Amino acid sequence: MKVKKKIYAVSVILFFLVTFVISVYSVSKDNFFNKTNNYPNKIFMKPDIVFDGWNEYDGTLTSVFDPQIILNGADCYVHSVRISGSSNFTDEKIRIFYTEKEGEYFSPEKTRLLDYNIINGGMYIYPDMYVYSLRLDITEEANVDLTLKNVELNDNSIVFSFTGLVMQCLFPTILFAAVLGLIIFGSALSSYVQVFKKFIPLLQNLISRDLKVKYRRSVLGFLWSILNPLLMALVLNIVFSKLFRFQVEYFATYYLTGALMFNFVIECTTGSMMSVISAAPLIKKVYIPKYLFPMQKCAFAFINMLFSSVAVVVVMLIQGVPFHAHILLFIVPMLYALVFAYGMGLILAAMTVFFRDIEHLYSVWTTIWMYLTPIIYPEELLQSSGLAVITKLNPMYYYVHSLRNVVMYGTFPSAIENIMCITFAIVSLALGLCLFKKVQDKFILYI
Amino acid sequence: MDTIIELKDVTMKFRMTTQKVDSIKEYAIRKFKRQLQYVDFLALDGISFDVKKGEVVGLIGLNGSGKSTTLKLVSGILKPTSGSVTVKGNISPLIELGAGFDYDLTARENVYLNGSVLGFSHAEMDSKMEEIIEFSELHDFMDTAIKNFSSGMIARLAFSIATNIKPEILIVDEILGVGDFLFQQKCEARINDMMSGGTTVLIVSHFTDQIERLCDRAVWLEKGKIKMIGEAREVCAEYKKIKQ
Repeated sequence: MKVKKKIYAVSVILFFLVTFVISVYSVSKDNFFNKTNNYPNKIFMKPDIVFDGWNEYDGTLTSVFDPQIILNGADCYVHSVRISGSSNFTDEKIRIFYTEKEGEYFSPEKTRLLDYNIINGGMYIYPDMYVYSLRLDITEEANVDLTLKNVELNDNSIVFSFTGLVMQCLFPTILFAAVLGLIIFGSALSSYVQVFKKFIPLLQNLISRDLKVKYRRSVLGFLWSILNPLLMALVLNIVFSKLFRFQVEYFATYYLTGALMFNFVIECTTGSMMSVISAAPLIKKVYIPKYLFPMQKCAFAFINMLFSSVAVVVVMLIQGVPFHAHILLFIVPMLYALVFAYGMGLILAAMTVFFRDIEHLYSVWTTIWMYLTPIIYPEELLQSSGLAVITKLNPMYYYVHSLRNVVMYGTFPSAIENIMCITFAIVSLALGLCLFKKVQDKFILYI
Repeated sequence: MDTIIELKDVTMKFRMTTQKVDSIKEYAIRKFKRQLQYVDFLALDGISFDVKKGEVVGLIGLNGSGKSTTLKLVSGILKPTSGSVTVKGNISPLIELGAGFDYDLTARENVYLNGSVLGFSHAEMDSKMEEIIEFSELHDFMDTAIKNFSSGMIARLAFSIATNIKPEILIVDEILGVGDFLFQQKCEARINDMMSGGTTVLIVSHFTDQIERLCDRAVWLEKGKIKMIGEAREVCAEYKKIKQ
């Protein structure tokens, strides 16, 4: 037991240190090693496109020929903005306008003189403030051949706040500690855990049976889990690059990461929903803890998701999306989502036993949910169309967003996003367990 | 001797709606109109008995007397409406043949699956595999999908698994009637073996001969109540009288 405790403590601390080192590395890399960090989703207009809507505001501010960078709906704390181009930058040439609220116009009152820093021909500006939208006007110096390559938005809570760093490393660590604690100290916990451990072989068997059944008699077998999303991405990429012109860089990757998360949660929940009913032959004959069946479906979906995530990597390679070390942390939002989906699955499974129409209702909800979540459209679309409240209340938004941050944009989800992810997950799990426990003894009478 | 199964004043009530309501809309409308009608069906009405470690107890009674419900309560599938069921030790229920069998998997895979249903790991089942194959006499068929098996073969496999995992309590629900004459004898011999090895056995059967041969005690249930409890021979003799 003592050895176990030591192993446990050491691995939890190690896990924390590793995540901490990775995050410190990412921060230092962005700021000191001078590598660029793209936030394509945050840039509504491409930086090298001159935005000509300025006439609406104040004609005296700038000339239409001067390059402008507009970050619409940035809605974040902007620590630094980096601009690089063929020109050598000096001060005086840059004016920055900002708005603090949605729907506000850029105005001369809201301009700022800024600190700047020139490294390797790139110019770092430090607005160091919260903005809703940000506009940079480059005057005089600017000539037509000026190209602006990169604009960085650094969420301050991520970059420089030490507490922020600790916070975001803390949450994965708590999760890790809980899971590891369950594994190591399982026997000491309670009779529930003992019963659960007794049925782990069954869980394994049921999952492997699911896998066998799914891929039986198909030539390509589990490759379908990879091919399927790839083909979907291909089709959508064609449709959206030709028909709808959303300004999303690396659209295929953007879509796939969103779809990976969304489909994972949906597979978990729909699988769980029917799991208890379809396990009727077993439940009627032997005593088995019933929460095992939603768990089986969630684990099964998790394995499928892991296969499908290969598709994301393939598309990233094809599109040339820069890889960051953070990509390895994709498992963290996935685990959050797993807990969330398991809780939801428990609720759905319990309700479906009594009312079979949940099944049909849920399939309708699935479609609605897909359109409420930014999967095939840019995240800004909701914000700019005044539906920002949806993104705030939609758990799926946080999971999708966190996954994209880690995989595509090489940043950690901010502390607040982590908290939201965990909160939704824990609330869902707690509700699910309570409801399930309350009604599980009646299942046998209804299936 | 230790009491291993204890039923105390167990009542099992099934609430049956007269119409099957399984949609929310229907439920809401009926609730609103106060048309949700239930008929309470008492499957078991305050029965109490206990089984000592190593005993073989038979349950007899006509159809619908609550025998299977009792077995399901003991194996934990059902929870009693009131009263308490206390069971110490692991159970191997043979409530029905092939609980947890997947008919698309092979016999060998099903041994692992069925073993895990009863809480045994892959490795533990590996060590019992030889004996299971031996007893079930299915040497040549272990890698065949069991959907191609006859019901007799499935019964042999199921019985073989259930008895080879050396449970503390074995629950048998009318499965001894399956299989040929020779296999039935083998099953009985195995149960006798287990009895002498200290396993507690709970049997439901319509064959009073079998109960008399195998059991120490018998419980006669009638319409959810215990009509008689005692020596297997005496109870069976009484039970046979009403047959005539």
